[in-house]
Order: sequence, then structure tokens, then C-alpha cells
Amino acid sequence: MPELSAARRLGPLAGIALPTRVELDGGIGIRLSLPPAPSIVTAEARRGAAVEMAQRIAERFGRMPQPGRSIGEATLVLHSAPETLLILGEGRAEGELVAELRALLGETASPVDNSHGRALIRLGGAKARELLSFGTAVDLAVESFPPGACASTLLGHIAVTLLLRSDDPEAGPVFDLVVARGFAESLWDWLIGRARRFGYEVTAPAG
Amino acid sequence: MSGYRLDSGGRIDRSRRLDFTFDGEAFGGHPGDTLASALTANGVRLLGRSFKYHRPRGLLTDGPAEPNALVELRGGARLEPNSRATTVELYDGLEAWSQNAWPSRNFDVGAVNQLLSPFLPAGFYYKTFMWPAAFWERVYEPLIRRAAGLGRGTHAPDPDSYEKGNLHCDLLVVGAGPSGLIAALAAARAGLRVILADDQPEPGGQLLSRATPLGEEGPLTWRDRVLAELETAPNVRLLSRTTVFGWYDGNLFGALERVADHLPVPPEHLPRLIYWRIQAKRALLCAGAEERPLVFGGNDRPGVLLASAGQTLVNRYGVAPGRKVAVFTNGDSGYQVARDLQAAGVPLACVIDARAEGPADHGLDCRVRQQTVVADAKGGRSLKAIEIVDRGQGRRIPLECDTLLMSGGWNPILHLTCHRGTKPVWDEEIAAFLPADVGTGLRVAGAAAGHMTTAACFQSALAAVTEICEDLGRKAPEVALPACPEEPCAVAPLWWVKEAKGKAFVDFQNDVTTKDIPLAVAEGYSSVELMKRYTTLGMATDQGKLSNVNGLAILAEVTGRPIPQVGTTTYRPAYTPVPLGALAGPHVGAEYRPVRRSPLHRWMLRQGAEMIEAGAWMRPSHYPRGEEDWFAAMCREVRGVRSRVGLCDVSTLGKIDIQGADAAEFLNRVYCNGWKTLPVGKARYGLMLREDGFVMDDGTTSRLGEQHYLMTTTTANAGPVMAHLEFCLQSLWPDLDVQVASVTDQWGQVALAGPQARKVLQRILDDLDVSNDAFPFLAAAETTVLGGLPARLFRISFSGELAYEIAVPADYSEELADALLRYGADFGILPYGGEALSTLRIEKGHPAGGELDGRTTAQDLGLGKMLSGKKDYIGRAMSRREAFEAPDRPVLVGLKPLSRGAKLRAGAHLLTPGETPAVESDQGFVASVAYSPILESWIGLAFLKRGRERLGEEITIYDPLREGLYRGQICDPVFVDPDHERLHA
Repeated sequence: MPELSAARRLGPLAGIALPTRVELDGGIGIRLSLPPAPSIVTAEARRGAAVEMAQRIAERFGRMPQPGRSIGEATLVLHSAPETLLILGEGRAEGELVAELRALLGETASPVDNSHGRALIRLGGAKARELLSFGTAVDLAVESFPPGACASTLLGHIAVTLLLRSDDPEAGPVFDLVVARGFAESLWDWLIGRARRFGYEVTAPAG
Repeated sequence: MSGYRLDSGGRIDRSRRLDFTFDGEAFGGHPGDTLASALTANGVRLLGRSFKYHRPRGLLTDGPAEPNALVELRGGARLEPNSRATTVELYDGLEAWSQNAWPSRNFDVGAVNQLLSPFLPAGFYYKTFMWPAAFWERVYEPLIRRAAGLGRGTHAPDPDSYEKGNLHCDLLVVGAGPSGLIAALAAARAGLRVILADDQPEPGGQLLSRATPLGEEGPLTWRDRVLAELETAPNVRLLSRTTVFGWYDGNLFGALERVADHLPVPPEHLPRLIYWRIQAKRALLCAGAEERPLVFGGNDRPGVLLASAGQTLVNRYGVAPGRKVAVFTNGDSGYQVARDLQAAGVPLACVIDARAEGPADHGLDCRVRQQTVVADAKGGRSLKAIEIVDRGQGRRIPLECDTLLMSGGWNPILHLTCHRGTKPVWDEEIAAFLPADVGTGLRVAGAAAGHMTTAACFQSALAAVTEICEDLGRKAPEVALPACPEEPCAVAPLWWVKEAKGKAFVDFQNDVTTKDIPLAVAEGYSSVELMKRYTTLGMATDQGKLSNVNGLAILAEVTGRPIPQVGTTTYRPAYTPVPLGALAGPHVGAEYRPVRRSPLHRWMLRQGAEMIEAGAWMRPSHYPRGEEDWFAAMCREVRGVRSRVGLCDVSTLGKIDIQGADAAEFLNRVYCNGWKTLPVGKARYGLMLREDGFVMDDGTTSRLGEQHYLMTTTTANAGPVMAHLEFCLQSLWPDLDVQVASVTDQWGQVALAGPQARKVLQRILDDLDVSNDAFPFLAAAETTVLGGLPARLFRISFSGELAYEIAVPADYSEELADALLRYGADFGILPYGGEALSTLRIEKGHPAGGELDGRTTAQDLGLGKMLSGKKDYIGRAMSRREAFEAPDRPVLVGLKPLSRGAKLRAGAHLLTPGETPAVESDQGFVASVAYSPILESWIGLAFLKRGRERLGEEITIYDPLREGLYRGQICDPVFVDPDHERLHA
């Protein structure tokens, strides 16, 4: 199969999440961007194979993340539910990540490609936690939700997987929101509706 | 003449003037004023009329307990009735109106009720409006409703936005008075995450209202220093203008932040109110105490107000409450108020102390009378004089004054501690209820815990923080206590002045007088809960904040019981009224729930689709061309599919990925039909029952690999079926090796249907052979299209035509749809919407939403043969119930009107011709209808008793709501291509 160009992918927010800057009192508290053509795979352990799945993850990624935590850099492995992983990659060819995980996990888990079924929204800025507190009941303070933490929660009425990628004292935290594609536009509207209170910038996807 | 602005003092910005109107009259005030303080400064005393007797009423308090000074605020769509003038921050252009008065608050027709008052005691309408019974609904209720009620609402849509949010903390401090400030400071220094919430625009609490210095410095100097530290502490969040109104299970607190109520109009980017849910590891209630009114004749005259309100007017707002002020007190705190007024240069008439002895060195220049009470207050719309009774000498003495400040003791504001069911505890020493011990989650400090001196408040707050630090494993920090003044705080209860001749009000808001409570007792309502309901004492917007303790103390006296035995009524959230807008939050109108959009949403819009809501989804109803209405478009689209080829977005169908060694066994258990024989590369129609044997959902499931299946569900049931499968795997059969995952959103899927479908399909496939032999009906394959796009292809048909469903990863779905339109152009391809889809399936008798309504069985649908006898499955046992096999169960049939143009309506009932419409003669009902452009007639799917034996029979269609009675004929539910030749073409 010829490799598909990521440019052929038309994400759910194409034409909607356009680069813009809306300041409040001369500043912005929120940064939004869409990582282009993300790869998103879920993998539930086969019955009785959770330990072996964890071992294979540890061999490849250094260790198996604790529940509600993630590991990795270019490819992030989230321990998102009991015996279940959510794996995030960027800049991968169509189907590459799921194929790689099938090879890695073999009979220990059943990977499912949801790269197109989930939208990935990156939310950062000094006010990111404050914005999210209008939606989620998860305590996002760094002592209970440190970098690498993830949670399945609701924003408004929309189910998301929330991940804290990094927390820079200067630039503020950077969260990834993984949302079912069909709800992406509603979630985007929800985010923008609240981002207006802090000033925000939507940046074009890199590349 | 009464109140006026003092030359100096107060936390107001005298350099700026704010213009406002009250009942249309223009006034001026300053930033920092409340509506109440600004009106008082302008000499306005009459602020409204009372609820029942329409008595003139003025200001009583300085805060949220205000029962009298209720106004309608703003106007138009923002009209807000029952706004307490004491909590309304003044802004430029504010407009307010008095309530319960017509034509004006000065001349109010309703005041005639005062003359009728002997006939209007508590409970009068229970006794009066009894006969005749026919008048209850039509006459009495509308009349009473018109007479009752506080203020008017608006029917205009609310122009403001509202928000909900979540906060978390180690310690929530409720109230930023002296106790709350020092507690927050100590907790902040201990490193706790602190939220300090306070209902005022600025922290300080009583420090804002008092002049007494703390040691060498003014109270606000100390406050400013504490505040500076709190404001810069990263672990502290200050919430001003925020009322913590409820305490709930799990130490969750409800709080209302008034983000923009102090502004004329909320800024566009901000919500008006935020409803916060605060999850607190620990909480400390520092809400202070509420001064009690005294109960004597005419205690509701405008000009009679609480001593604390007078003190606040002077110290916080720089307003004298009057020009000749008397103070009536039963405790030491009234003296401090008198001293503050004296220091501000407000003329004092007298201090009247009900006790035999007051403080020795009171420092007052005016006369101080001991063992004296105010019996009656005189004057109409403004206080003119009082009659005092020297109880020592038994003399009644008139005294001229325009203002009377009353201090009847202090009630700790303990409401939050009672919200989870605990009752407060009576304390003789302060003659008030104290909060009970409600555990470590919520502690109480300061005046809310009954500490009546600043020093004791500080100490109790620090002691509480020390305990909280211990709970949370922190070290309690050092915090220096400011030097506090001597504050005598003795009080002797005085529940009512029996020498009163005039009406003595216990509950101002509900016009409950001292006479109503003995009346309630005399009529048998001597329990405090019954007395409340009989007299309405403690109801309405103030919820008895001022009246409850006086009321139950009087009840105790009347019934000869001690106060603890009488007890209190139940304290419930919310502490102060919460606007419904805040409870609804942002989820109103179009935001009521999120919308799901197909990956082809924008493509469909570009094709001119009319979109409609279908559950959470937006789906195309039809694709009108030119001036076409939905009906014409639907007919054209159906004809196009039946004669050429059409494409339809089916991405919204639920798609569930099923993997694992036991996947086939799992399908065998959740579907009623068998799955063990399905080969790889094939799809099968499956029917799923609920445990009770009724049909839950249907759809096709395809076998993609040895241990890999793809289940489809109806759009509406995608979520419930997924939850059902997860429940089965986690709870019923945890031993099965099966993994399920929703891939509904992963695939953009289109149905390509019509006699030309194969020809169009062949043009987009990379290399798959889809000839009838190679890819027959119910074949399924994973393949590629359009030069390498991964795709899944299924030969399934909802329309009954030669049809395929093609799925590609959702990001490519527009590319797929565009290609199909392009490659199908010379075959006359057209997109079709939900209306056409529905007609096509009704023409084929395929059950859908109208038939799968949770009340139908497989047998009813004519699918009884699918119920496998060779295996167990969910719903098997119950699907064999006798009633399910009953011969006269309504079963699926087709229906046509006998007169050709007649329109069928879903929901109509079926009758044997000649029968009278009745429940007993009912033969069934119409489930789905459509106009078939192929048959040029309306057709329907119906459920009819013994329907399968009655094909060809004439039936009466009874539609009482719309068309009345008309005639139809029962037929096979498959209207088009009954031999399914097209499907296999």
C-alpha cells in the first residue's frame, strides 16, 4: 500500500480551528492548537494477559505507566482505564502506529485504531487549568495531577481523555484533550466560549 | 427627613458620583455604596410595602438577611425581583423599583389590608376560601396568587450567560471577617491550598463596619496587611462576592459567585454568575453572627432598624441613619453602636436597655435608661416617636426620635452546619443556637461558633486551623494575634415586649405578628414545624434569618416549654436565593447538550442538505433542489435510488470493534441468532434482546478476521449497546476473552444503493472484484479505494436495492464522497437524506425506530425464526413467555389506505370495520408511515392482532387527533420487490 500523505487527512476541526488571536487586556491566557494527523490507538489487554502486556510496554517504553499516568515522548502511552492503554503518536503514517502496536503486543492485547475517531486538541497557557475547571471535576492542581497524569472525564457534557503533557513555570501547563470526533466541534465551541474570558491564541498546526 | 450623608468617613469614593433612580426618581450615590446606603443617604426611608398588610417598610439590616428592602432591579429582560437593597452594589445608571405597592409606595391601595387585619390572621385563607369548592381553582386561587408573591418576574429570555465550575482545596474558609482572615492567613502559611470565600465586594466582614482599633492600628490597616499576604500567596484563592450557600455529602460546598451583578451589564466575555462546586478536604465556617430584631409594637416602622445596620451605615458608608437616634438593646453590643454614632457626630436621643444593669463606663453623652423597654414605635411612613416603658417605675414615657436602632442579641450564622441534617444546640449564655459538632470536615470559628469578642474570634479561628493542620499532617504556623479591645458582650434575652399595644412583628417578610403564634398554638399547631407552615413564619426569601429564633422563643413561652425542647425548623440549602440561571449554567438553548457531527457534516452542507437533529447527531433530512420542499426532494431521491444510484451518509450508525478468542461465543450470547458458523468475509443480520425478552437493537455484524468482528448498531442505540456489551463482559462473563471498543467515530461510512451501485463502486476500488459471484449479498472485505485509502466494504442493504456500505477512516470520508459523486455522475448519482432513507426502508418493511420501541418482540416483528433453539442468549428465557406467544399479540403488517390519496399517520389505531373506537375494540396501531413515490400511495408499517392471518383484510384506521376514521387494507410489510431480486442482482 502506498504511504498516504497526512495532508489528505481532513480532521474534524479543519476550517474551524483557524489561527487567530483574541487578547484580553493586551494578553492571552490560553493557547490552542491541533497537532496534525495524530495517531491514536486504544489497546485492551486480552483476558489474563494484562501482566504480559505491561511487560511488553515496559520493554519498549521503559516502564508500564501507573493507572491514570502516562509515559513516553514522541509516542505517549496512557494507562487510561483498567488493563487498557491509549497510545498517542504524532507524525506517523496511516496505520503505522496500530501496526507497530500489534507487533509489539501480539496476543497480549487487542489494539484498535481510533486515529480518525478521536480528535486531539492541545490546550496550554497560564489559564489552562482555570478554563478546564469550568468543565471537569478532576482536581488539576499539580500535586494531584502532575505532568504525565491523565484522566477520563467530562468537559461540559462531553467525554474527554485529559492529559497533562508538561507544566512549564513560564509558559504554563500544556494539556492534550482526546475527544470523540463527532463531539470535536462542540468541544471546540465550549473551549473558545471560555477562552474568551482569558484571551486566547489559536496557532496553525506545525508543518 | 431622616438619614443623611456624613461629611467624612466610610469606605466610599466621594470624588465620584453615581446616578441612579428609585421608583423613577433620580438620586446620587458613590462607588462603595449599596442601594440601601445610597437611599438612606438621600433621606429615602420608605422602601416598599409589606407582603400581607402592605405596611410601609424601610431598611432593617445591612446584609443578605434583609426582609423589607426588597426591590425590583434593572428592567426588561434583566428584571430581577426581590433584590435585597442591602446587597445591591450601586452602579451608575442603576434602576430600581419598590415592590408590593400600587399605584405607588407612598400611596398604596393594598394598605387597606391593614384595616382588615383583624380579619386576616394567620391561616385566614385556609378557613375563608373553602366554599363553594367549585371556586377553589377558578376564583380563589387566581385571586390569592395575584395578591401574594413578592415582586414580578419577566417572561423575556435571559440575555446573560451563566457558568458552572469546580474548585478544590485543602481548606475552604467561609467568610472573610476577622476570623476568616486570620484562619486563611494561618492556613496559607502552613502551605495548605486555601479558598477564602466572602459574599462582600471586599474582605473584612465586621472590620468594615466597626471603628474600634485593633491595638494601635485601625481595623482595616490590619486587614490590608493580611490581605496583601493572602493576595500574593500562590496557594490562596480569594473569592469575593461569593456566597457559600450549601454543604453537601463528601464535603462538597455549593457557592455562587456574582461575577457581574455589580455592573450595569456583564461584559460580553464574562458570565453573570458562576455556580462553583467546591470540593474541600476541610472547611472552616467563619460566617459571623446575625443581629436579632426586638419584638415590640410598630417595630416595622421605617426608621426602626438593627443596631448593626446603623453601625454599618455610619462606619462603612458614611451615612447617618437619622437625625435623632435612640438605641434599644438587651445587651452590651448596643452601647458600642451608640458610641460609634456619637463619635461620628450623629445626635443620640437615648439608649434604652431592657436590663437592670448595663456596662458601668459606657462613655455616652446621651441619657441611658436601664430596665426600660420600647413598647411602641409611632409614625406612619417614617418613625416620629416611641413610647418607652420604665419597668422599674411602671411608667409609660413618650420619646421623640426619628430613628430607633434595636439590638436583640446575636444568632451565629450556622446554617451550613445544618445542611446535612444536624440540628443546632441551644446556649443559655448567649441566648442563641450554637452549631453542633458536625465532624472534622466542617469546623466553625468566630462569631459563628458563638464567640462574641474579636479576641475570642481570633483565638477560635487559630485553634481550628491548628486542628485542621493536624488532620492534614501539616505543622501549624505562628501567627501574631493583633491586640483586641475590651468588648463587653453580655446579653439578657428579651423575646417580646408584652407592653406593646400595636402590631409587633416577629417575621417582617411574612407579616407574622406576636398574635399569630398563640393563635397557631390555640388551633393545635404547636410543633415548630407546624407553626411555621400555619403562620408562614420563616418562609420566603430571607428564610427566617431574623425571625426564627424570636418566633420559636415565643412559641416556647406560649407553650410553656424550654427553647431546646421546641427546637428549630429544618435548615436547608440554599442559604441565600440562587437564581435559576446559575443552576442551569451554560447548558441552555442551543448549548443544552453537545451536538455530534458526522465526518461528512460539512460535505452534506455543501451538497445543500437540510440538517435536522436525530438524537445527539445532526443528520441530513433531504437535499432540496431549487424550490423543492422536503416531500418533493424525498420523492426525487427515492426514485433516484430505485432507478439509478444514490449515496447516503451512514457514519452515525454505531460501530463496535470486537476482538478476542471468545468473540464468536460472545456474539452468540448477546444476539438471539447464531454466530458460530459465520465465515471470515461475511456479514450477518443480528437481533439483540433485552433480559426481559423484548427486542433491544438490531444491525449487521461482519467477521473481519478469525478473532475479529465489527458490530453495527442503530444510531440511537450505539451508546446503550456499547454499555450493555461492557456490562456483559465485566459483570456477566468476565471469563470471556473479548475486547470491545467503539469505532463509531473512526469510520466515515456511506451507503451506495441502486441498480447502478456496482458500476460506480468498481471505479473507486483499487483491485477488489465485486462481481455478484465474487462479492455476493452479505459479503464483507477490508480493501483499499482511490489509490490506497484503507476501506471496509460491506454488501448490505437497508433500501432493498443492490447496495454497498463503504467505510474509510473518517478524515478521508469527504474524499470518498466526492469521488462517488464524480464517478457516479454519468449514472445520475444523487445524495439522499433521512426522509428518503426512511421511505426506502418502509417500502421494504425493515423495522427501525418506530418498530423497535422497546415493546416489541422478535415474534411481533416477524423475526421469530431468528430465536435460536440451539444455544442460550440474553433474553431467551423471557422471550418464551406465554404472552409473547399469545396468538392475538399485535404483529408487524403492512398497511395501505383504501382511497389512493389518503395520508396515513403514525400513532393511529386500527379497528375492525364497524367497531366503535374503544380500548376493548383496539386491534393495533400504526408504527411508521411514508409516502411511496414508487407505489404512489401512502404506506405504513403497523402492529395488528393476528395480523399475519389478516393480509388483504379491510381495516378501519382511527386517528382521533387528526383525521378521524378512514379505511385501509392490511398487506405484507414488504411493499417493493417482495422477492428481493434487486438485493441479489
